[in-house]
Amino acid sequence: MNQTFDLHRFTLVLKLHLSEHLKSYLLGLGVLAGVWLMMLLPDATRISVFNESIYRKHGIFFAFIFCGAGAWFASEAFRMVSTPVRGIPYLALPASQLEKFLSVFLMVLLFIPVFIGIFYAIEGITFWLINDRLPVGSPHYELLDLRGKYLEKDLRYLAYLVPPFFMVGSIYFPKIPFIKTGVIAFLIFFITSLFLNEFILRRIFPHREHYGVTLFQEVSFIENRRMYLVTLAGAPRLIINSILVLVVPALWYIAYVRFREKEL
Amino acid sequence: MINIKNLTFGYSPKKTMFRNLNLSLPAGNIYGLLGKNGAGKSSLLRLMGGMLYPIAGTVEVAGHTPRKREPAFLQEMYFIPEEIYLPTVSLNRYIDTMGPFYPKFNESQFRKYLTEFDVPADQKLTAMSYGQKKKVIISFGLATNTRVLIMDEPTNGLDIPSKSQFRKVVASALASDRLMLISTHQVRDLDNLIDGVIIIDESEILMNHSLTDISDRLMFNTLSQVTESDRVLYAEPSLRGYSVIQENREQEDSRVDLERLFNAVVTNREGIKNLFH
Repeated sequence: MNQTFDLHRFTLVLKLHLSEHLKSYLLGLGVLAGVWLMMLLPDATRISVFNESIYRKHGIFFAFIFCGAGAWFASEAFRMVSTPVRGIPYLALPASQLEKFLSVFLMVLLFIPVFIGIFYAIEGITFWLINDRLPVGSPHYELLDLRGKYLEKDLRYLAYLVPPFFMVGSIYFPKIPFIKTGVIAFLIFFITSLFLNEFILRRIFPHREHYGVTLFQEVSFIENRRMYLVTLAGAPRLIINSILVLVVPALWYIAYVRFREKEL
Repeated sequence: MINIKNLTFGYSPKKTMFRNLNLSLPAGNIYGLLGKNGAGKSSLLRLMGGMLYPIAGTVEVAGHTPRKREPAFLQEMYFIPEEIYLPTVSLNRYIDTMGPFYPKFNESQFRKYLTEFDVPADQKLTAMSYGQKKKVIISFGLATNTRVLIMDEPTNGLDIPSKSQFRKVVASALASDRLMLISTHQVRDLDNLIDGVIIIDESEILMNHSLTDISDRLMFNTLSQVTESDRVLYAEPSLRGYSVIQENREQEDSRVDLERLFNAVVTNREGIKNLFH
């Protein structure tokens, strides 16, 4: 018998997981659909002309709601091992640590297509209602291209980063993991964006008047009424990008190791 | 079946709960693990179940290392914690989802135990009282037919008739290759059930002997007066004088009173220890 992974056992773990959580997942889907209806449907009653700015708005909505909902969902991922009452039966379940982890991991991954599906369904309804009212000859609204320019690069990265980050939080903090991980996330964000960028910029460009940054990627500023854009290039860019990409699987792995070492 | 060697464990490295603890329990017996609140009973059981990891030493259960939490080990060990959890599903759904994890799970056996415990088979798990849920878990644990069954305070939450049902059902489920370990601080719940007694106090195992061994060496008696010549190891006032434990020099038969034994072992550590060495 394979002690690390067995498809039959994994199927049993998934079946058990769904039998215990399906109702709360369906309830969550309902809440998510309700949130999107509240965010997007008002446009359907107001807008009667074509304006591309709606895509930017939808892009921002998508990123923030995805991060928020994804963070909440991922921070609940290991709730079952947060207390001995539920944790002991789960740890004693005859399946490998990997199979138990993968069942949770799979649910967090499945959240992504489900979220996108709900978003597109509600956006589709919204645009269908708006398009119906647009003047003849006007361009029509089409579903937001999530790989396109309306979803900021850093927000897109954040969407990849948030679920594993909060999943690590869910295994580290038995109580209120969403709040605690959120506080840590904001601390990291403020330290890197405010302290680190401000600190470095003051030393390198002491006479800058205004600046903007994309964390770890580029910085723009005005000096002597001239606009400057400094970006990473070549090997440093490759290294930084590689690190940013590797952070995501590293966080998944940390969550797995932490789960494997969980004691109750 | 369970072998613990030089076990050191603590919730923090500075404050150890067990130091160089040794314990060996062969199969085919029901053991009672007795101890005061906070003595470390639950921690010891969780170390055996792989929920806690030792700092040093080895724990071996049914030929496996619990801390690895391998499926082969978990299929041979069922753990009933003090505080139980049952998902919000029907009984049939529970059988469907949990049963297949245990290769030796027997559904008809499970239903038979439920009947013996007077748990209605058509009732939803969510509609059950705490005591009924506990009976479901105990019945399920017995029906998994795992080689090791660990129960932490299983009688908590059971009413008086259920406690005697518990003793009857558990005793009927024992097999020669099976070991049951029951922890409790309510010693009377284990009367006429266990074969061996493990007494733990202040992080130390003070006693690990079979009831036969105990009754061979100790005599549980009632005396009107306690004198030095009676060789009394422990005495407590009772309606008819004193309930005592004496050295059993004449090999007389007496029924082991677990509560008195526990008090004796805890209050007269050296006297009891010397007698059993």
